[in-house]
Parts: sequence; C-alpha cells; structure tokens
Amino acid sequence: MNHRTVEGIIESFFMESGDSKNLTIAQTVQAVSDKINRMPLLLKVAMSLFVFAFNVHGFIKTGKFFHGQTAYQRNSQIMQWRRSSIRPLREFIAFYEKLAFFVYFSKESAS
Amino acid sequence: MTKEEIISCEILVIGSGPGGAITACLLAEAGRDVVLVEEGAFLPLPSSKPYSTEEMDQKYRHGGLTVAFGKNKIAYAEARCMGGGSEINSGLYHRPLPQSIQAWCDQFKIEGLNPSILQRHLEEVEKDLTVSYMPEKLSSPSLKLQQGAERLGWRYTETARCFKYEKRSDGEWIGKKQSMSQTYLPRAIRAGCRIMPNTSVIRIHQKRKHAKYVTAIQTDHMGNKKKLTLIFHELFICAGAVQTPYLLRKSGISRNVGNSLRMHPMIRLAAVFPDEVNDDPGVPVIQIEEFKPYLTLGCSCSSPGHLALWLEGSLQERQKKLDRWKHMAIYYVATTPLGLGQIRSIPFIQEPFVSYQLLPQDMKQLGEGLYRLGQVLFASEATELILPIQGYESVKTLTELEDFNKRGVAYGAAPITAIHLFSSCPMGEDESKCAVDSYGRLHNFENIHLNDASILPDCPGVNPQATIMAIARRNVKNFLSIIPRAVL
Repeated sequence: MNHRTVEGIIESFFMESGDSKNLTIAQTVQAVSDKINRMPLLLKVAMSLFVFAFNVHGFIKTGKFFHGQTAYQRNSQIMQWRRSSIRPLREFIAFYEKLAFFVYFSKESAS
Repeated sequence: MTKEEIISCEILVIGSGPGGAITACLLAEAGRDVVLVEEGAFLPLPSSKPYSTEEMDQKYRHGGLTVAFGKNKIAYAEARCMGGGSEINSGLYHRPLPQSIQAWCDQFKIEGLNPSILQRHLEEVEKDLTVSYMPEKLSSPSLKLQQGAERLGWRYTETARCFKYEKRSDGEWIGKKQSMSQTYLPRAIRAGCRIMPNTSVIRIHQKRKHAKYVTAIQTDHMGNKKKLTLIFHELFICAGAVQTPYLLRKSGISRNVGNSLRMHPMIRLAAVFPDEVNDDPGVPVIQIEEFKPYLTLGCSCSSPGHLALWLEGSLQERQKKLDRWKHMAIYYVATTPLGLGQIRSIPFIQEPFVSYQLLPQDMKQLGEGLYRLGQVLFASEATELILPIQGYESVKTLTELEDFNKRGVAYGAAPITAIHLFSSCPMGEDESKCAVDSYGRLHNFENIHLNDASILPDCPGVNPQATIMAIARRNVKNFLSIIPRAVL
C-alpha cells in the first residue's frame, strides 16, 4: 500500500499537466520510486511511518486510502499537508515534491 | 554465499577516495605489498553526466539520499565508488588557509606540522593532479559574482581546479577532471597495488590493541556475494568522515571516534538576471573570499533539474519560471558552524546513524550569509532572488533579506545541504579529544591508521580536497620512514 501511495503522491504533482501518459512523467514516477527504495533504512522507516499516517489521514477524511481517492481529493490532501503548521508534515510533501521535480526536469532537459 | 576466501597482504587500505587513493599509491610505489578495497564499483569517470540523476544513482551512496538528523535535517552527499568524492565533486582545489593549519596545530597539539611543512606536500599533490586555472574566459555565473564583488570592494578569487586542459584542433579547450580514477589509482595499479572494488568491510578484528584481520563481503557483477578474510600487518582506514568512524565503532573502537563530525552547511538560491547567464554545465570557479573562513559565497551547478529544486509551486508554476532558465543561476553560502555531529552504529541496522546539531549561532551565520549573497547578487544586477524559504520565493530588493541578517534562518525554514564532511576522528596528541595521533595512527593501537577527511581537526572553511590529500601524503611519507617493510 505504501508503494502505491508514494506513486500516487508523485503522480499528483503532475496531474495538472493533463497528460497522464507522458513518458517523462512515467519515467519520473519510476525513477523516484527506485530512489526511494535505495534510501537508508532509518530514513525509509521514518518515511514509511509518515506514508502510513498520510494514508490514515486520507481514510479518515474521505473513507478511501490515498491511491483510491479522486484527483481532487488527492490534491486537497497534499495541499493540506503542504500548508500544515506541523513542520514534519510540510517536510514530508516537500521531500517528494523536490525529488520528483528534480528528476522530471533533469529528464526533460536531457531529452 | 560462496566459500570464504582468505587474502593476505602487508598493508590493507580501506577506501579509495582522495585519502585512500594517495595512500595506496604512495605505499605501492614504495614497494609495499598493498591491497586496496572499495565498497563501490570501479566506474569510468564519464560513465554518467556530472551532477545528473544517473550519476547519483551510480556513484552516490543511497542514490544521493543521505541525511544527518537533527533540529534541522541536513542532506549530505557521500560517494560510493572507486575514487570516492573526487569522482562526483566539482574538482575545485583550494589550499587550506595557513591560519587554519596553525590553529589546528595549537588547539589539537599536532606535532611535526605547520603551514610551510604542509606546503611541500600541497605542491606535490598539485603537480600530480595538474591543478590549474581555466585557460579561457570564465563562465557567466562566475563573472556575475566577480562583478558584484568588484562593485562592493570585496575580495574574491578564481579557484583552481584539478583539471587537465588540452586545446583541440578547432581551438576549443577541453578540460578533464583529474579525479583519483584518472591519477593515483592507475599509478597504484601500475605499482602493483591489488584493488578490490565492490568489497565492503564489515568488521575489524583486533586483539590487545593490534588489528589482525578484517572480514568483508565482495559482490560480483551478478549480485553473488563472497565472504573474504583479509589479513595484514598494517591497516589504513580511508573510508571518509562517515564510514571510517562507523567501521571503527561497529568493531568496538569508539574512543573519540564519531563524536565530532563537522560540515560546511550550505543554503542555495537561484538568481535571475536580465541577460542570459546559464552557460556553464559545471560548477563555476569564482568564490568570494571576503568572509572566509566562516562564510564562503560561490556558484553551483545550475541545470534545469537543479534549478527546479530551489523553486516552489506547482508543475506549471515551475515550468513557467524554468522557461527562463538560461537567465538563472544557483548560488550558495557555505559556513563553518560551531555545532558538531555524531556517527553511531545501531545494533542490527547495517548503516550508520548520522546526526548533526546546528546551534542558534550557526543559524544566525547562515542568515548573515544569505544576506551577503543577496548583497553581491543585487550588486551584479540580479533582478530577483528565488529562495527555497516560505515567504521569500521572490525577493527583489536587499531590504527583504534584512531579517535574515538580524535574526538568522529559523530551524526548518530552509533546506540545508552539505557536500564537505570531516573531523569525525580528529588528529593530534590531545588524547582527550583526538582519535589519532599527529600522523593518523589510532591512539593506543599499534597498527591502525586513519588517513582521510575524518582526521582533519576542524572545518577548513575551504574546499577540503587539497587539505585532505596533503595531510594524507605527509602521513604516508612519515609511515614509510619509520615502519619497515614487514616480512610476509
């Protein structure tokens, strides 16, 4: 479930592009997922806990886990964490966002 | 796992970065029987584009996702490949400040070292690495920094690089970075050093303060693992500021080991100029010297991917800003904090736990650095600064940065990174705080020597490769003069 949630978060950052089949986006999602799998164990455990909490929060609010939510619900949940007054929640979103955009724009400029 | 293999040598060197490579090379060239083990792979320098995601996947530990925990997390870069940090760094070469060397000698009681002694070793390293200046016009991001510094009356310098330049037939200069894989490692191999990439040392086995052997795991290209036992007379550990203390601590050696990690924390921002400036695929060479060693201002790699890291907003918002990426460049401030970090080994977790405590005065110093960076960039006609700090995503006047100068950067407000780590096993005769003696030998051990960034006593305040290699060279020369060849 965590893996699908993380992929869902990364895909959500690119939702507004309107082109869900864009190869660069697909490559970005895969590349970021691969990078996250290589994280140090302690960081991976910490991030997994946050992903779990993110999913639970979404379930409480919408009755669905993140990867089962609508695009609107997903964006709404990401925005809520991005603007949270709780620093770790903001950092959680910022981490995936920065990584995703770094990979995406690196791939886009290389192609 | 296949059957265990036993390998014997006179001297085992662990780690092939700037410290390990020069150590293995000089020992082998002196006729010693040397084995050099490296956890990472032996990859050609151009196996990936510098600063690309592919390079991070191939040559960085954990693909580049390494973090020091603390009140403000610090993302740091650590290489994991033959040649170590020299394969992924910018190649910038900066001699240590003489006053820093003298202060280290005084505060840590280092014998047989002073700025003029170190200079001899620096000169030899510089010859070996072809340290030189750019043969042609500096890149535009560099020139902007230079322009700003001149207008403010600040001292600046063009930092030399470990690059060999050749002129092509069409008149274009081509520069090739002189990393360890291009210099000391080939020399070490020619001198008979046996190198073993993809070999991770698990533990040092010692008896009565004498290291006997290490156990290691070697992985082949198919992913098959083999257990190795490496027996030696002398051991040099050159695995870097994090891995050296980690290996020692998990082997039960912990006195003054891993308690005093230092870094040069950095904050980056993107500057926007009216003219096109982004013409340098590498790291520009101009650095502001005015506030060294406690503040360094310089330029970073400014590819679209790197620029995207420091922008905020949605995909469309970033795309819109990046349409003008040629008008943008990334600049940084690096500091020499008072805070310290620790490296710890946790049972059953096969990775070090790294923490770092930035003190309030360190955050104040970073704030001052941001302000100074703003000063020099606005003086060079930047029209906008984009900071990765909420509320400062578009700064158009220096006044908007005054708060940073007065109050510093709040914890957690800005992403802080570090590419220079050291001092986790400091050298010197002061046994209350030093892990190794004046020449890198582990205190109270007969035959364990450290010879990498971990033994620098404190932040050099400049790019550290020159300092690491000159001190490593000095230590190896001393070793060769006092430790006779062992009878195998």
